[in-house]
Amino acid sequence: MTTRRPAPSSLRSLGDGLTGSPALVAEGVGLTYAGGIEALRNVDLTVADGQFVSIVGPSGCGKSTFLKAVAGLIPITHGTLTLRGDSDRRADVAFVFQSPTLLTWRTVLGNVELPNELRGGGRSTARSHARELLALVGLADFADRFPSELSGGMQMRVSLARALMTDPRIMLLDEPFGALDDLTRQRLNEDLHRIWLRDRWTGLFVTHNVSEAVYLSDRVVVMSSRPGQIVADVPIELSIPRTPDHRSDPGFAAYVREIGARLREEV
Amino acid sequence: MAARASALVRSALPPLTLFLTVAALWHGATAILNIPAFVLPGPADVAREAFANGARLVSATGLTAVAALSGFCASLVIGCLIGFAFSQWPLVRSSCYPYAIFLQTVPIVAIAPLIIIWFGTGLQSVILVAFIVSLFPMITNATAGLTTLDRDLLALFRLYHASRWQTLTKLRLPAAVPFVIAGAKTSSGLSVIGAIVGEFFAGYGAERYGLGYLITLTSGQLKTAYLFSAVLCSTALGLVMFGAISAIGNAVLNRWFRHQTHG
Ligand SMILES: Nc1ncnc2c1ncn2[C@@H]1O[C@H](COP(=O)(O)OP(=O)(O)OP(=O)(O)O)[C@@H](O)[C@H]1O
Ligand SMILES: [Mg+2]
Repeated sequence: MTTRRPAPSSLRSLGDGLTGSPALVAEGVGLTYAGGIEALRNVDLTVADGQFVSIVGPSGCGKSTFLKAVAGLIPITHGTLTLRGDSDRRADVAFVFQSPTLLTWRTVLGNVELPNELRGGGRSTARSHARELLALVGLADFADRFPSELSGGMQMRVSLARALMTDPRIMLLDEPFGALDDLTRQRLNEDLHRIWLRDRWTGLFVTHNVSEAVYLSDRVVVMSSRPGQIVADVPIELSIPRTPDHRSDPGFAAYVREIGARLREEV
Repeated sequence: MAARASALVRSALPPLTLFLTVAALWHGATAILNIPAFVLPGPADVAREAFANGARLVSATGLTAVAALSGFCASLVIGCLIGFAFSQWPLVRSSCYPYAIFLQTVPIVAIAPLIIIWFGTGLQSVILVAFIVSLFPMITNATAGLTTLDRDLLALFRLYHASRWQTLTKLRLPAAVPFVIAGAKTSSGLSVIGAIVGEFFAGYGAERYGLGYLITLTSGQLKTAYLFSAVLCSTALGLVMFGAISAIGNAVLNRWFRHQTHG
């Protein structure tokens, strides 16, 4: 497995102009559940290493299914899915779910350490790494609290820190901020963007919020209603790093309008 | 602290008022209607009998408590083990579950004499009856706790290649605790009922007997006021058992499972 460092931002590829081996290649991916529900049909998506791609689409169109397939949690029934040229799809991948999915009986620190424990990593280095990550998400002072003592936004931050624990090269985020109020969501967007700039993992981010998608992404892809297919692929050519000021930028608003209109055609 | 005390008073006041009202009505009814004491003794008669036989009532309640608590503990342990077996091996579950339902539907009064025949009169038989009566809720709750799991949490464990053992010890067992607590609350009350039913049929020998035996004895002799006091002791014992188990359970839930609410 290669541990290629991310390219500097000026060289970062957008859309089709890929350089180097892509992080994710989906070719003709189809997925029909055992019950006969066809969730995905003919999904083609190539994501360059270090790229941040958002997926928007109508409810029930197969976005979560696609992320789970990428994570190797559900087998696909058609086509091929390749991650970083590696056939073991779970290597190097982290997943952030819509709910924080924390273990209520463990402290915040214990939750962040969990992935390392499950993988049988060393204890002492893990502890300091977990503390670093908690500081990164702004929860340094909450290491010994229990999740029930935290707000929804803080729990989501713990969930993010936990996902970062294994130094993933691919982050799959399934509507992680869907349950949060707008202000908290924006704060978390800014922090997520900062972490992505720091680590430059490849991000696949599912959301219903178009403005959040534009804010975070190099590209936003639009999925059709079920069976999901990719019907639009919009490169977001705003300067990086993104700042809160971008939200009032006319270019930003134009992207939001364009993608919003494209999305409404699908609903 | 003061807030907690006043909350306690506020929650205790309505049932206490109701109790006093009913006792007053009861007293009034027996006095006015001239009901003979062996049919319906008044509260004063009951209180008098209770004080007169205080020592016996206390020792009977203590013995019944020992039997109920032992039966409850056995059902907690065995119920969790059976629930564990049910959750791990579907074949065991599908073949044994119908027989577990038997525990729920069998009239315990009918099989208690059999148990005495097989295991003799004495504490062991009473404990066994209490155990049988309180086992079923433990089995169903432990099984449910070990099999009902958040899909995403399971996916998370799979994502990190967690072994079956890790998934069990770090996810399934802890996640089952609130369910086991809910089962324990139900079982705690049932174990007292089971012990008393067991004592209807089995004494402890040598003048030592529990509330169940005292109830059959006094009803046979038409000592109704004494019988009433024994019934009140049974009720109090059930409440104390339930209250104690609930308090322990709620403390555990508060510490580790606060955002979940079970019973
Ligand atoms: N485990 C499953 N078994 C059978 N069908 C499923 C399963 N999970 C999802 N589906 C179906 O597959 C389709 C796609 O579901 P999916 O959860 O991927 O949609 P989604 O785009 O994530 O929706 P939302 O935006 O509401 O989260 C839906 O019709 C859903 O009912
Ligand atoms: Mg979804």
